[in-house]
Amino acid sequence: METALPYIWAIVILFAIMMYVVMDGFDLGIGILYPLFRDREDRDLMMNSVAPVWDGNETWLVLGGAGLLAAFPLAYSIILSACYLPLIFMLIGLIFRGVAFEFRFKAHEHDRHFWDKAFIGGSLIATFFQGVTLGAYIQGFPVVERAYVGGPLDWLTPFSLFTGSSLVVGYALLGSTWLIMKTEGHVQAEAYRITRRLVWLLLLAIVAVSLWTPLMDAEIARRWFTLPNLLWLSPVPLLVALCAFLLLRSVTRQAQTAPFLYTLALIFLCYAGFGVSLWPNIVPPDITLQAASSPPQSQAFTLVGTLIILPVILGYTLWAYRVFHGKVRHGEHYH
Amino acid sequence: MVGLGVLMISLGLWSAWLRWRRNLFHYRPFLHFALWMGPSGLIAILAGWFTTEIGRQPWTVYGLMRTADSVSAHGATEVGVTLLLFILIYTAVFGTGIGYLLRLVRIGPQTGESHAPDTGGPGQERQPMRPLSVVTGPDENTSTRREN
Repeated sequence: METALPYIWAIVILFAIMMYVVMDGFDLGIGILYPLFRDREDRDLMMNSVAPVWDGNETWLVLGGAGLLAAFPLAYSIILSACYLPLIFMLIGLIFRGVAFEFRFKAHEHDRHFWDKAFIGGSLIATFFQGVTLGAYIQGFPVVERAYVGGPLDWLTPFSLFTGSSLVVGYALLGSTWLIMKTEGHVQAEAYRITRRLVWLLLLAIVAVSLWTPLMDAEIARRWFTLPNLLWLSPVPLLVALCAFLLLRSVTRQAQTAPFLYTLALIFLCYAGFGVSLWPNIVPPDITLQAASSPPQSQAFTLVGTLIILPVILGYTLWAYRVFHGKVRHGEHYH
Repeated sequence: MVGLGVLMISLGLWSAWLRWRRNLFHYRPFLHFALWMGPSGLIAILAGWFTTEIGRQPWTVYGLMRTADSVSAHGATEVGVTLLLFILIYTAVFGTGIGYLLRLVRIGPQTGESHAPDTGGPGQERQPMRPLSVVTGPDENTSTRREN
């Protein structure tokens, strides 16, 4: 049991981060897509499609981060120290994005454009720096005696800037497919058009990152490209291609929910790809899950609490989405 | 902080007593008291946090690890710049927030007596807004639309 605890915790944290990416992905995506929709009523509509659920979506990030602190404090300290600046910028982005939701409806007509810009800018910055953190994470951190020894700007590399941009595309796709599900009429039509272009852009980004990562790291290259691993792991890129094809086809057929579901599948596959590359290291290049763990008593204690509360969180999340299911229409307000 | 907590509890009890005596909305001493207790929550929270965080010094983990040993290797510039950023941004955001709050307070509660509520029947728009969400005053343009 003791040896399994780190792996159970790893699954919990991975699940929390996955839920965050999927759920905050589309409401950050809405912000990223705002510049493409100029009409004020369309923008109101887009915001209303996520207004009731966005708070809960962001809490998954807190769960992932706090779980990391509880279960893998070494990883928490190294990652958050190394990625201090991108995470601060991400937080600032999230602050402005969140506040824009509330203040936009409270402002005078002529001030509203400021909160629109805050919404767009906040969403872009938060997404971009999440991607930068991911890129920096994949590249690994120099560690001596359980402390991070790199500089304050080590995270700033071409690779991390590229992953930042790729995440912007990914979240934009989540946002556009969410709009397909939740809107009708000309907003939905525009969302269909945007989705097509974003799928191709995202595919390009996935291919680029998938080739760049092994080029950077010989260990990862060996894991993916040597037999027999190559055979076992080839379903991942094949499934990515299949999902992208099915996504594009569902858009042509004007499906309502399928595009969003295929986008979720794509995100999950990318996630799985990263997992394959990095397992079992929680802090690349060489700190394993076991090495970063807190004592088994801590992990067991906090795991019990988490396993009790997780179903509750999932329950109310499901309920919230069910209450607000269906299309958003012009003239409906949640504020 | 504890004193404020006791005051908050007494506010609740007094209001329950007045409610029972059917005098809750008109008894002026209580209304003044409630007004002065407005910021009490914020002050109590801040007081509590100041107590814990100042009182814990010089330990981060009491008896085991001092604050001086808990410092991570970030340079002073890095931390200073981000601290400054936080201060600026929080001031901006909270400042505007308080501005909007004061505007809401100035407009006062919307009793809804000035127009008939939408019934939401066929051909009518439903407006499920939270109370006090209309920030524009009665003489300004509102965003409510009514079918007449």
